[in-house]
Amino acid sequence: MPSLLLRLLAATAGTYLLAMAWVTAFARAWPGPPADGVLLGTMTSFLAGMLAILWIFATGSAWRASAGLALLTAALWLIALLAGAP
Amino acid sequence: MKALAQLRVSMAGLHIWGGLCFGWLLYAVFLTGTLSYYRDEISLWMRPELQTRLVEPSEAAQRAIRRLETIGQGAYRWLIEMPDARMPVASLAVWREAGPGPRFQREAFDPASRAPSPARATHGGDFLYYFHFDLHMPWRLGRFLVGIAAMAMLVAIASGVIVHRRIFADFFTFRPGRAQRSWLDAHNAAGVLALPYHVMITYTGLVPLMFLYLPQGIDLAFPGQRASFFAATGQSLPTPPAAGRPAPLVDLAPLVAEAMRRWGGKEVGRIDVRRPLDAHARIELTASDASHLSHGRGRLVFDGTDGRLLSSDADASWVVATERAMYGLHLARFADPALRALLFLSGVAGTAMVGTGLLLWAAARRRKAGEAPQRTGHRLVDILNVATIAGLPVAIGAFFWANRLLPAALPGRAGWEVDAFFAAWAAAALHAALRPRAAAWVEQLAAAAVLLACLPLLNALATGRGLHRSLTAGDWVFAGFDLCALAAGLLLALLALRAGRPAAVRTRSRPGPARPRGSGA
Repeated sequence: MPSLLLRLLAATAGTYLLAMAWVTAFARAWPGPPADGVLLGTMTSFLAGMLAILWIFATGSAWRASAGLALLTAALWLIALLAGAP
Repeated sequence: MKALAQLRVSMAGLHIWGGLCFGWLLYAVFLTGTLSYYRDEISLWMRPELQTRLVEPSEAAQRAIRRLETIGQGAYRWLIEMPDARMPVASLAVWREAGPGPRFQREAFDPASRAPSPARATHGGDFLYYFHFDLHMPWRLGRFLVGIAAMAMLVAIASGVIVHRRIFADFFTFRPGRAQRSWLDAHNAAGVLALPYHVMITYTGLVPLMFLYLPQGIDLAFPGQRASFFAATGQSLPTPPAAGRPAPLVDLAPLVAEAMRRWGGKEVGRIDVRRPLDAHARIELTASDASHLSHGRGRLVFDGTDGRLLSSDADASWVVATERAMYGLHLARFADPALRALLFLSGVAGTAMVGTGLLLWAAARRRKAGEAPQRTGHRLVDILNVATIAGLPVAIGAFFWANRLLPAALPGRAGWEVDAFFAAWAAAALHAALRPRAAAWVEQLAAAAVLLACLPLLNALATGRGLHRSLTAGDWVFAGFDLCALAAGLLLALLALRAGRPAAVRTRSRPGPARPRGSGA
């Protein structure tokens, strides 16, 4: 049960944080016009979220799934930070 | 192989439980969204007083502006949705800042008679259209719920595809019997046949509302200036500050002619006036989307006092073009009658996929439980299944009946129609909770069948545009609506008959090779 709860938490709040980080990374790091980066990042964030949810439930261990999700989110934040202000 | 089998088991769990949690909401969204393909036609049927007389576009635009000068004094925005081949009346909207009078006002305007449309007050097909993403809920709650459900739908489609080959069949085959197998076959057929459509409509459904769900990108790249982002992506025009000096609005006819020349003859779909009758007036003309896939069609902005062309959206980036195309694909206003019918049927398949999925869950659990007393959770699923799958058609039928039965002059008439919809739905839910499962199915399916199948009769009695007249007159909006209502009623009657057959009469057959046995939906 705790493992299912962890997966559910990762698939909801965790995936939303991932989508936010995804959008932020696109908005900051997109080389073209800023409006394009925002549009592209937001449009693709739903696909990223869908893949993340599938992966969260496909991975054998709920802890590994959550850790992987957190790592990916952190990596996207890092990209956003490195790219600096838009 | 073991890893693959493990994957399919976990994906089946995700598909089954995610599908169950969001199935009822998705069914309602799919059904009302599918009907929205014929939003204009439904609106016309619900306004039988309307005559289809089209007026030449620039003349219609000028008549609409004259009308707005009367009803739109002191407004900061006027919007005219122009009449077209599917909708002979213009829709006028007026926005005001705080002050006396309503902040927002809408009117159906008949350019032929230069007066507000004489038709009865109704939300028409717009009610079903808004319901499919708004759920008639306050504070945008419905839009968030529908967005979450759409994400769940994406996950359910992907996990369903992963599961489909074998495990799915095995997973439900607790004790194989005909009822469950046919629901599985129907679920798979409806899901697989229109799979590209389901993916397209679910994904593009998220795009129009994506900045409600994830506004972070705009706030990062355009801090405090969402309006300039939407202007940069060709979505809306920012309202300029008022000059405070009155100025007459420029003559619209040359602007409309100029727009049609630039768009290669395409007609003007909407006229958006900001700061009308002010020295800072702006007029934005947008091309009709009736023949154009992308929602980002031609767009021209003119100065509202001297008619100078200020900007045009001729060179949008590929990203903007992609986003506009997805938006347009979801709305499908570009579709000609044949494509529209195909999209409608795909939407029906989507509705059937969701509905059969819910039935499958219940049938599988029932079979597994055997003679054991029913668990509360399973009973709840049964109630919600009846109240949604059969109850929503009852509510839609009641909505159309209310449209024909309520007096045309009743105050607040449009709201009463909506109340009839929700009252019928609430009654269906109560009925589903009080009656035994089998009886509830038969009675509600029969009620929906009667309500829909008798609509042509009611229409013939209540208006002078019954089926015999509309068929001979070639009035395909009325004939099409009546025939579709009749067909839906007959389909529901068949389902009611099927649900009424006692289970023992059904011949038990051994599960043969997976072969679709009738549609079952």
